[in-house]
Amino acid sequence: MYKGGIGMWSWILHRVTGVGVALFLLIHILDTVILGWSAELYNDVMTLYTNPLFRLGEILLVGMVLFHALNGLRIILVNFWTKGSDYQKQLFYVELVIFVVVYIPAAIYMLQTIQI
Amino acid sequence: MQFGRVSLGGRMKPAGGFELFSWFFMRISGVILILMALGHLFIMHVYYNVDQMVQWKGLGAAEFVKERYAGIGWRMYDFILLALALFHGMSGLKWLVDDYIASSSWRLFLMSVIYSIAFIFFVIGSIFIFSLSL
Repeated sequence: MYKGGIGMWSWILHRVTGVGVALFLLIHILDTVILGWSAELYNDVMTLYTNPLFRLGEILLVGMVLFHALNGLRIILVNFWTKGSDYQKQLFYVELVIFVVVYIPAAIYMLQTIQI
Repeated sequence: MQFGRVSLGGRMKPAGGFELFSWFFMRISGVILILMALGHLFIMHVYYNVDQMVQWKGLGAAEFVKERYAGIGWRMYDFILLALALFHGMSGLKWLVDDYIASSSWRLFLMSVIYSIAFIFFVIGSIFIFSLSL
């Protein structure tokens, strides 16, 4: 399963980002349904999320989802496009370029919206 | 051949049954989630952000959500996103337990936890989305 190289690292990153996003999703469902009970409590919890540490975590979350999305698309291409497995390395480089081009500006923009 | 597939970075395609269904579900829900989850992140975490929401019209984040839920459109969007993201995520965790947990009693315990969470969170999330009064 672990032979090194791009296949291994993309596989590990896909799993790590997947677990991270899944765990946040569960927390996010819980913090949202609070509004069904109490608007005051919901507002308090959302105010907690404005803490700069949570805002940095939010930037990390966006990065994890973006990587997982792009890498998932690469896996789908490898599975269903007949030439996909021939170009899997090139696909990974394309994926990294798209990730950097989209994520760096998004992260910089999000950093600027953090209120300390 | 099968390990060759794994080394390309994707899980090998199962022969049949529920595992094959899961394999296809991951890919189909994945494609939809690329649009819907990234759309959600862009709107709620980049275009708007939590610092804006807590100050929304001087009333707080609850007001932001209630305005957003005034029509059925965003409720439907969030319901589909909830269902796909939750089941996509829980299927993923199930695969990790399948791959990394050897003990059969731990497997049974963790699988039960994952199925329970998937069910309970889907129910409470859906009730919230469709019953939030404005």
